Amino acid sequence: MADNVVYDVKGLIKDLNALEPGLKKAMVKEAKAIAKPVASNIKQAIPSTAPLSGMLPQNNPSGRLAWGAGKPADQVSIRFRTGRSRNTAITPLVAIWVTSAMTAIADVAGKGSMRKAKKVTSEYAYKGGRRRHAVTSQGKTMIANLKSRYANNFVYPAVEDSLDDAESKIKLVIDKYARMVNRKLD
Amino acid sequence: MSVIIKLLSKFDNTGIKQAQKGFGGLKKAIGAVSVALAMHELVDAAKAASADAKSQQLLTAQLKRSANATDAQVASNEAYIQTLSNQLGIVDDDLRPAMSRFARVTKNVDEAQRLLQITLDASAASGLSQEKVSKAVAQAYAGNTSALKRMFPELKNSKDVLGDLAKEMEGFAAKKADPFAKFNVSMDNFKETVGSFVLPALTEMMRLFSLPYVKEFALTILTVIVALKAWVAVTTLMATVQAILAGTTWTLAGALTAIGWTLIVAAIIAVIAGITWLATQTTFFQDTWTNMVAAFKMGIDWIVNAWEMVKTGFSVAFEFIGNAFKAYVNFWIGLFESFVNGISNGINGMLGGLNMVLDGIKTASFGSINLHVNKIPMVKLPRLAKGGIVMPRPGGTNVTVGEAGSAEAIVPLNGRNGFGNTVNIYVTAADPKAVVDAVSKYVKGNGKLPSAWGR
Repeated sequence: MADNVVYDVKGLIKDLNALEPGLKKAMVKEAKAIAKPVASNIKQAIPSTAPLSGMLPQNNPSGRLAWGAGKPADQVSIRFRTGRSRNTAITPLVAIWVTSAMTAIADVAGKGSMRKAKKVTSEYAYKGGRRRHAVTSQGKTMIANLKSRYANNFVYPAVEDSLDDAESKIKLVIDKYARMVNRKLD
Repeated sequence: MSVIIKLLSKFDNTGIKQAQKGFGGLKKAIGAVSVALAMHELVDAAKAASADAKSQQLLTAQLKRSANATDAQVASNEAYIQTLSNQLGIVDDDLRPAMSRFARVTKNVDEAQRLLQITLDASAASGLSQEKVSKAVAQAYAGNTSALKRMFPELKNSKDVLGDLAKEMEGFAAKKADPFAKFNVSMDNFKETVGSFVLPALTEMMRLFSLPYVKEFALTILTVIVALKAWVAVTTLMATVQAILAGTTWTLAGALTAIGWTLIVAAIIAVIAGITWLATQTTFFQDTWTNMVAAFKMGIDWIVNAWEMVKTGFSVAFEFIGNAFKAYVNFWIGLFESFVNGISNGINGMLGGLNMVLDGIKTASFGSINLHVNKIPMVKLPRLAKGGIVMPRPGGTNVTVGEAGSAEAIVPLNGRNGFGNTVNIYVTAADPKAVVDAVSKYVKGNGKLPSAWGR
């Protein structure tokens, strides 16, 4: 999917506010509304219970990585961000975030290169010093188990077909408001 | 950790621009490095300016002496040299010696400039070095045209060698001038100009460093170091000498006089005093130091040679005394050994002191003077109260016998192997027959088995 990029959104928002207070809010609301069905699809795709027993909250009473710990496992938010980045000029304007850490881990499990892991990690900072630790086979086992239960890579496949459509619609919304500004300026 | 699904992207490079702006600090750091490099370049420029000034001075002196040139003529000539240098891409330092040569020959600035132009053209046309051509041109001007004709055979039948050469080669230097060489020369000239501003500052700095009190300060530090080292060494030497003299005066007096012990100590003290004198009485440290090093080396060489002689004398004397006493009184042998070792200890202590001085000199000279005198070994006479065999060797071996209070027999073992001799019988297999065969072979060759085998 080629990136669909819009330009000068900040300028547009500034002009919208100048044109009529509340127009920006309306534009964001419309854009988010288009993304809502997509987000809803993602929500449905997220397993309602922990895919592996090790992820159950009762097995991780104090950890933050239990299924649904801290925030619901199926929490999905739509974000409209106009902020800039110091690293790249192209950044997401509208994006859907799956915010639960364990859900994200389960989703991305097995998406890597799956190359043979090092036996010991590289050195890293730890409690004011530096250390390294042995790499266990826990992760590999988790991935294998998730794959065997088809409990990984569930977010993107759920929305893959609707992404282009949603993107075009959001772009139309942006264009609509941009036209409003242009008309006013003309 | 989150999963993010992009729905629409935007382009906004203001963040990147801001980040790039942040690199301004880096640019400043690079600027600082550039300043450091510029300092290095400035020193280079000062060097170039110094060399250029020297070259100018030489040419000016030559023009004034040979061509009676006025200051205006000198200035005009310098401008001519600079113009020529920039136009032809030849550094002015190469032009000035030729100009000097022509000034000496022609005694005229204008004529010298004409010859210089001919030389440069001829050099460019022929590919010969400018120095060679200029020498030949100068000789030709003085009437000796053979060198120039050898270089340029077409002038063989010429009546006006220089005139014909000028016609033949006119404009070659300008045509052959390499633009890059011109650029380099321009840069060099620029560098010299910059250096001419820097040079006075450097000269002033050097003047400050050469102020008397700065020099005196450095000299004082060095003198104190040398004096301290010398004092420690002399104290040690004197203590050692006193110890030796106190314990063994009655025996050693003659020997010490004979071998010149006092002379050695006096020589060492004299050398140290000499170093101190040299360090304090000179006005320019570098020269002093060089002379001091040379003088000290000579002194040390003399001491080392003298010491070798002393060592030889001691060895002969002690050996003689040892041989004279050993056969008569064992007690005296023990005493003699203690005595010899006492002297050796004393001498070695003295040598330790001398080596301390030498180490001090090594440190002060940053390792350029590295001398060391070896100590003499201790004497150990073998005691044979429990018997034993002394193996033959040239000059024999001094031994102590009967020191345990009972009589001992000293029997020569002429033609006998003695108990201590090793008989090697080689058996190549762990076979009893092989052992018997090997023993039989030994008996055949030697007549009988050693007596020890019979025990």
